Amino acid sequence: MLRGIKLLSIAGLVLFFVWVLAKGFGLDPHEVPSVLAGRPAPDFSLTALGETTPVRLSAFKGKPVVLNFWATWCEPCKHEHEMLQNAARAYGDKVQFLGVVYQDAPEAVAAYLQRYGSTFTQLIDPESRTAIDYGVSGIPESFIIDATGVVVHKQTGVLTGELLISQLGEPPAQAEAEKATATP
Amino acid sequence: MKTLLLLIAFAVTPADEATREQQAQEIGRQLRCPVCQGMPISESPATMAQNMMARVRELLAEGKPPAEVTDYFVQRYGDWVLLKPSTQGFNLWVWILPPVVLVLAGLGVAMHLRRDVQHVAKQTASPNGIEEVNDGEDDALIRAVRREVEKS
Repeated sequence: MLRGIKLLSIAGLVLFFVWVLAKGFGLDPHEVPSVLAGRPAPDFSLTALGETTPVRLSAFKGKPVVLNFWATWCEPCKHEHEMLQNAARAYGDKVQFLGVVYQDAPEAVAAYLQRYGSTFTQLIDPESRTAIDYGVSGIPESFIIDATGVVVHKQTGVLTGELLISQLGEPPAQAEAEKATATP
Repeated sequence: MKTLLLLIAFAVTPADEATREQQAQEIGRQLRCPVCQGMPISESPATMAQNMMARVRELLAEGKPPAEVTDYFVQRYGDWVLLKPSTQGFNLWVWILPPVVLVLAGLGVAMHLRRDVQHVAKQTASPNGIEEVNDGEDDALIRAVRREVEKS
Protein backbone atom coordinates (compact mmCIF):
# COMPACT_ATOMS: atom_id res chain seq x y z
CA MET A 1 0.00 0.00 0.00
CA LEU A 2 2.88 2.30 0.89
CA ARG A 3 4.43 1.54 -2.45
CA GLY A 4 1.17 2.38 -4.20
CA ILE A 5 0.95 5.73 -2.43
CA LYS A 6 4.58 6.43 -3.34
CA LEU A 7 3.94 5.64 -7.01
CA LEU A 8 0.80 7.76 -7.07
CA SER A 9 2.63 10.69 -5.48
CA ILE A 10 5.44 10.49 -8.05
CA ALA A 11 2.91 10.23 -10.89
CA GLY A 12 1.04 13.21 -9.50
CA LEU A 13 4.21 15.29 -9.25
CA VAL A 14 5.25 14.39 -12.80
CA LEU A 15 1.81 15.29 -14.18
CA PHE A 16 1.91 18.56 -12.30
CA PHE A 17 5.28 19.51 -13.77
CA VAL A 18 4.11 18.52 -17.26
CA TRP A 19 1.09 20.79 -16.80
CA VAL A 20 3.32 23.68 -15.68
CA LEU A 21 5.60 23.23 -18.70
CA ALA A 22 2.67 22.77 -21.07
CA LYS A 23 1.42 26.20 -20.09
CA GLY A 24 4.44 27.60 -21.90
CA PHE A 25 4.43 25.28 -24.94
CA GLY A 26 3.51 27.05 -28.14
CA LEU A 27 4.48 30.43 -26.77
CA ASP A 28 7.30 32.39 -28.33
CA PRO A 29 9.51 33.48 -25.41
CA HIS A 30 10.72 36.48 -27.43
CA GLU A 31 7.25 37.73 -28.20
CA VAL A 32 6.21 40.39 -25.75
CA PRO A 33 2.55 39.88 -24.86
CA SER A 34 0.40 42.92 -25.43
CA VAL A 35 -1.35 44.33 -22.46
CA LEU A 36 -3.16 46.84 -24.64
CA ALA A 37 -5.68 44.48 -26.23
CA GLY A 38 -9.13 45.59 -25.18
CA ARG A 39 -7.84 48.88 -23.75
CA PRO A 40 -7.95 52.41 -25.20
CA ALA A 41 -5.04 53.05 -27.53
CA PRO A 42 -2.56 55.52 -26.00
CA ASP A 43 -2.99 58.87 -27.67
CA PHE A 44 -0.01 60.55 -29.28
CA SER A 45 0.89 63.72 -31.09
CA LEU A 46 3.62 63.14 -33.69
CA THR A 47 4.92 65.10 -36.65
CA ALA A 48 4.48 63.62 -40.07
CA LEU A 49 7.58 63.16 -42.21
CA GLY A 50 8.33 66.39 -44.03
CA GLU A 51 5.59 68.28 -42.17
CA THR A 52 5.44 70.53 -39.13
CA THR A 53 1.80 70.13 -38.07
CA PRO A 54 1.37 67.46 -35.39
CA VAL A 55 -0.90 64.48 -36.05
CA ARG A 56 -2.94 63.23 -33.11
CA LEU A 57 -4.37 59.71 -32.93
CA SER A 58 -7.52 61.01 -31.25
CA ALA A 59 -8.29 63.02 -34.40
CA PHE A 60 -9.17 59.73 -36.12
CA LYS A 61 -11.76 58.58 -33.64
CA GLY A 62 -14.80 57.33 -35.53
CA LYS A 63 -12.85 55.17 -37.95
CA PRO A 64 -10.54 52.18 -37.48
CA VAL A 65 -6.80 52.84 -37.47
CA VAL A 66 -3.95 50.56 -38.49
CA LEU A 67 -0.80 51.71 -36.71
CA ASN A 68 2.38 50.20 -38.12
CA PHE A 69 5.83 50.54 -36.46
CA TRP A 70 8.57 50.03 -39.00
CA ALA A 71 12.02 51.10 -40.26
CA THR A 72 13.93 51.06 -43.54
CA TRP A 73 16.62 48.82 -42.02
CA CYS A 74 14.03 46.15 -41.26
CA GLU A 75 13.66 43.64 -44.11
CA PRO A 76 10.29 42.13 -43.03
CA CYS A 77 8.97 45.71 -42.75
CA LYS A 78 9.79 46.27 -46.41
CA HIS A 79 7.92 43.09 -47.38
CA GLU A 80 4.94 44.33 -45.43
CA HIS A 81 5.13 47.86 -46.84
CA GLU A 82 3.78 47.00 -50.28
CA MET A 83 0.79 45.20 -48.77
CA LEU A 84 0.06 48.17 -46.51
CA GLN A 85 0.29 50.57 -49.45
CA ASN A 86 -2.25 48.50 -51.38
CA ALA A 87 -4.49 48.09 -48.33
CA ALA A 88 -4.46 51.84 -47.65
CA ARG A 89 -5.55 52.42 -51.25
CA ALA A 90 -8.21 49.72 -51.11
CA TYR A 91 -9.76 50.83 -47.82
CA GLY A 92 -9.65 54.49 -48.81
CA ASP A 93 -11.11 56.79 -46.19
CA LYS A 94 -12.85 53.91 -44.37
CA VAL A 95 -9.68 53.02 -42.46
CA GLN A 96 -6.80 55.27 -41.44
CA PHE A 97 -3.35 53.81 -41.97
CA LEU A 98 -0.48 55.39 -40.03
CA GLY A 99 3.18 54.43 -40.13
CA VAL A 100 5.41 55.20 -37.15
CA VAL A 101 9.10 55.30 -37.98
CA TYR A 102 11.06 53.32 -35.40
CA GLN A 103 14.66 54.34 -34.68
CA ASP A 104 15.46 55.43 -38.21
CA ALA A 105 16.80 58.56 -39.85
CA PRO A 106 14.07 60.70 -41.46
CA GLU A 107 16.32 61.15 -44.51
CA ALA A 108 16.58 57.38 -45.00
CA VAL A 109 12.81 57.05 -44.66
CA ALA A 110 12.19 59.89 -47.12
CA ALA A 111 14.55 58.30 -49.67
CA TYR A 112 12.88 54.91 -49.25
CA LEU A 113 9.37 56.33 -49.70
CA GLN A 114 10.49 58.37 -52.67
CA ARG A 115 11.60 55.14 -54.32
CA TYR A 116 8.78 52.80 -53.24
CA GLY A 117 5.90 55.19 -52.83
CA SER A 118 3.75 56.19 -49.89
CA THR A 119 -0.03 56.10 -49.74
CA PHE A 120 -0.39 56.86 -46.05
CA THR A 121 1.04 59.19 -43.43
CA GLN A 122 4.40 58.39 -41.89
CA LEU A 123 5.09 59.77 -38.40
CA ILE A 124 8.41 60.47 -36.71
CA ASP A 125 8.67 59.16 -33.12
CA PRO A 126 11.47 60.99 -31.25
CA GLU A 127 13.23 58.78 -28.67
CA SER A 128 10.67 56.03 -29.37
CA ARG A 129 8.25 57.52 -26.84
CA THR A 130 5.21 56.31 -28.72
CA ALA A 131 6.82 52.91 -29.29
CA ILE A 132 7.35 52.64 -25.52
CA ASP A 133 3.75 53.73 -24.91
CA TYR A 134 2.57 50.89 -27.11
CA GLY A 135 4.94 48.35 -25.56
CA VAL A 136 6.78 47.82 -28.83
CA SER A 137 9.68 45.38 -28.45
CA GLY A 138 10.74 45.03 -32.07
CA ILE A 139 9.53 45.63 -35.58
CA PRO A 140 7.42 45.21 -37.54
CA GLU A 141 4.67 45.55 -35.00
CA SER A 142 1.20 46.75 -35.84
CA PHE A 143 -1.86 47.65 -33.84
CA ILE A 144 -5.40 47.59 -35.12
CA ILE A 145 -7.52 50.14 -33.32
CA ASP A 146 -11.27 50.15 -33.72
CA ALA A 147 -13.49 53.18 -34.39
CA THR A 148 -13.97 53.77 -30.66
CA GLY A 149 -10.22 54.01 -30.09
CA VAL A 150 -9.76 50.58 -28.50
CA VAL A 151 -6.87 48.31 -29.46
CA VAL A 152 -8.41 45.13 -30.87
CA HIS A 153 -5.29 43.39 -32.14
CA LYS A 154 -1.52 43.56 -31.80
CA GLN A 155 0.50 41.92 -34.57
CA THR A 156 4.10 41.02 -33.80
CA GLY A 157 5.79 40.38 -37.11
CA VAL A 158 4.54 40.89 -40.63
CA LEU A 159 0.93 41.93 -41.01
CA THR A 160 -0.90 40.05 -43.77
CA GLY A 161 -3.80 41.03 -45.96
CA GLU A 162 -5.84 38.12 -44.62
CA LEU A 163 -5.42 39.33 -41.08
CA LEU A 164 -6.42 42.86 -42.03
CA ILE A 165 -9.57 41.57 -43.71
CA SER A 166 -10.41 39.37 -40.71
CA GLN A 167 -10.16 42.41 -38.42
CA LEU A 168 -11.48 45.18 -40.67
CA GLY A 169 -13.74 43.37 -43.11
CA GLU A 170 -13.41 43.44 -46.88
CA PRO A 171 -12.15 46.67 -48.41
CA PRO A 172 -15.05 48.64 -49.94
CA ALA A 173 -13.83 48.28 -53.51
CA GLN A 174 -13.47 44.51 -53.19
CA ALA A 175 -16.83 44.18 -51.45
CA GLU A 176 -18.50 46.13 -54.28
CA ALA A 177 -16.83 43.97 -56.91
CA GLU A 178 -17.93 40.76 -55.17
CA LYS A 179 -21.45 42.09 -54.84
CA ALA A 180 -21.51 42.92 -58.54
CA THR A 181 -20.37 39.41 -59.52
CA ALA A 182 -22.83 37.78 -57.10
CA THR A 183 -25.87 39.69 -58.46
CA PRO A 184 -27.61 37.61 -61.18
CA MET B 1 14.53 89.57 -4.80
CA LYS B 2 11.41 87.38 -4.56
CA THR B 3 12.25 85.85 -7.94
CA LEU B 4 15.76 85.08 -6.78
CA LEU B 5 14.46 83.40 -3.63
CA LEU B 6 11.99 81.34 -5.67
CA LEU B 7 14.73 80.30 -8.03
CA ILE B 8 16.91 79.22 -5.11
CA ALA B 9 14.00 77.30 -3.53
CA PHE B 10 13.31 75.32 -6.67
CA ALA B 11 16.88 74.86 -7.78
CA VAL B 12 17.99 71.30 -8.40
CA THR B 13 21.08 70.60 -6.41
CA PRO B 14 23.81 68.20 -7.51
CA ALA B 15 22.76 65.99 -4.59
CA ASP B 16 19.21 65.78 -6.05
CA GLU B 17 20.63 64.84 -9.44
CA ALA B 18 22.82 62.16 -7.91
CA THR B 19 19.88 60.70 -5.95
CA ARG B 20 17.66 60.71 -9.04
CA GLU B 21 20.34 59.01 -11.12
CA GLN B 22 20.75 56.39 -8.42
CA GLN B 23 16.99 55.81 -8.44
CA ALA B 24 17.02 55.65 -12.25
CA GLN B 25 19.78 53.04 -12.21
CA GLU B 26 17.91 51.03 -9.56
CA ILE B 27 14.73 51.10 -11.64
CA GLY B 28 16.72 50.34 -14.79
CA ARG B 29 18.14 47.22 -13.16
CA GLN B 30 14.60 45.92 -12.60
CA LEU B 31 13.34 46.43 -16.14
CA ARG B 32 13.98 44.00 -18.97
CA CYS B 33 15.33 45.27 -22.29
CA PRO B 34 12.76 44.38 -25.00
CA VAL B 35 15.59 43.84 -27.51
CA CYS B 36 18.34 42.14 -25.46
CA GLN B 37 15.80 40.34 -23.37
CA GLY B 38 18.14 38.84 -20.81
CA MET B 39 19.54 42.22 -19.82
CA PRO B 40 18.24 45.11 -17.76
CA ILE B 41 17.75 48.40 -19.58
CA SER B 42 20.43 49.97 -17.37
CA GLU B 43 23.04 47.70 -18.99
CA SER B 44 21.71 46.91 -22.45
CA PRO B 45 23.43 48.66 -25.39
CA ALA B 46 20.20 48.59 -27.45
CA THR B 47 18.85 51.99 -28.49
CA MET B 48 15.42 51.03 -27.19
CA ALA B 49 16.91 50.37 -23.74
CA GLN B 50 18.60 53.76 -23.78
CA ASN B 51 15.31 55.40 -24.78
CA MET B 52 13.56 53.62 -21.93
CA MET B 53 16.23 54.79 -19.47
CA ALA B 54 15.74 58.34 -20.76
CA ARG B 55 12.03 57.95 -20.08
CA VAL B 56 12.77 56.68 -16.57
CA ARG B 57 14.87 59.79 -15.91
CA GLU B 58 12.14 62.06 -17.30
CA LEU B 59 9.48 60.52 -15.10
CA LEU B 60 11.68 60.81 -12.01
CA ALA B 61 12.45 64.45 -12.89
CA GLU B 62 8.66 65.03 -13.05
CA GLY B 63 8.55 63.96 -9.41
CA LYS B 64 7.05 60.51 -9.88
CA PRO B 65 8.04 58.01 -7.18
CA PRO B 66 10.09 54.97 -8.27
CA ALA B 67 7.18 52.55 -7.81
CA GLU B 68 5.05 54.62 -10.17
CA VAL B 69 7.84 54.76 -12.74
CA THR B 70 8.19 50.97 -12.67
CA ASP B 71 4.43 50.61 -12.93
CA TYR B 72 4.47 52.92 -15.99
CA PHE B 73 6.43 50.28 -17.89
CA VAL B 74 4.43 47.36 -16.49
CA GLN B 75 1.25 49.06 -17.76
CA ARG B 76 2.73 49.15 -21.24
CA TYR B 77 4.73 45.91 -21.47
CA GLY B 78 3.06 43.79 -18.83
CA ASP B 79 4.71 41.83 -16.02
CA TRP B 80 7.10 40.46 -18.66
CA VAL B 81 9.14 43.70 -18.42
CA LEU B 82 10.09 42.97 -14.82
CA LEU B 83 13.29 40.95 -14.57
CA LYS B 84 12.12 39.66 -11.20
CA PRO B 85 8.73 37.99 -11.74
CA SER B 86 5.86 39.32 -9.70
CA THR B 87 4.30 37.16 -7.02
CA GLN B 88 0.81 37.28 -8.47
CA GLY B 89 -1.22 34.75 -10.38
CA PHE B 90 0.63 31.97 -12.17
CA ASN B 91 3.97 33.71 -11.44
CA LEU B 92 3.62 32.70 -7.80
CA TRP B 93 4.59 29.14 -8.81
CA VAL B 94 7.98 30.45 -9.99
CA TRP B 95 8.71 31.44 -6.40
CA ILE B 96 7.10 28.48 -4.63
CA LEU B 97 8.20 25.54 -6.79
CA PRO B 98 12.02 25.66 -6.51
CA PRO B 99 12.22 25.55 -2.69
CA VAL B 100 9.41 22.95 -2.57
CA VAL B 101 11.21 20.75 -5.10
CA LEU B 102 14.47 21.19 -3.19
CA VAL B 103 12.86 20.14 0.10
CA LEU B 104 11.13 17.14 -1.51
CA ALA B 105 14.33 16.06 -3.24
CA GLY B 106 16.23 16.44 0.04
CA LEU B 107 13.65 14.31 1.84
CA GLY B 108 13.82 11.68 -0.87
CA VAL B 109 17.62 11.50 -0.65
CA ALA B 110 17.48 11.37 3.17
CA MET B 111 14.92 8.53 3.13
CA HIS B 112 16.96 6.59 0.58
CA LEU B 113 20.17 7.00 2.60
CA ARG B 114 18.38 5.97 5.78
CA ARG B 115 17.17 2.77 4.12
CA ASP B 116 20.68 2.01 2.91
CA VAL B 117 22.10 2.53 6.42
CA GLN B 118 19.44 0.25 7.90
CA HIS B 119 20.30 -2.49 5.38
CA VAL B 120 24.00 -2.24 6.21
CA ALA B 121 23.23 -2.25 9.97
CA LYS B 122 21.13 -5.42 9.65
CA GLN B 123 23.83 -7.07 7.57
CA THR B 124 26.63 -6.41 10.08
CA ALA B 125 24.36 -7.42 13.04
CA SER B 126 23.63 -10.93 11.64
CA PRO B 127 25.67 -13.71 13.50
CA ASN B 128 26.19 -15.67 10.31
CA GLY B 129 27.31 -12.65 8.41
CA ILE B 130 24.45 -13.21 6.04
CA GLU B 131 21.93 -10.52 5.34
CA GLU B 132 18.81 -11.13 7.35
CA VAL B 133 16.37 -9.07 5.49
CA ASN B 134 13.25 -8.72 7.46
CA ASP B 135 11.63 -5.88 5.60
CA GLY B 136 8.97 -7.88 3.89
CA GLU B 137 10.90 -8.62 0.70
CA ASP B 138 10.63 -12.19 -0.33
CA ASP B 139 13.90 -13.44 -1.71
CA ALA B 140 13.73 -17.20 -2.13
CA LEU B 141 17.37 -17.40 -3.16
CA ILE B 142 18.63 -15.77 0.02
CA ARG B 143 16.46 -18.03 2.16
CA ALA B 144 17.79 -21.07 0.33
CA VAL B 145 21.40 -19.97 0.82
CA ARG B 146 20.75 -19.28 4.49
CA ARG B 147 19.32 -22.80 4.94
CA GLU B 148 22.38 -24.33 3.34
CA VAL B 149 24.78 -22.29 5.50
CA GLU B 150 22.88 -23.12 8.67
CA LYS B 151 22.96 -26.84 7.79
CA SER B 152 26.71 -26.71 7.53
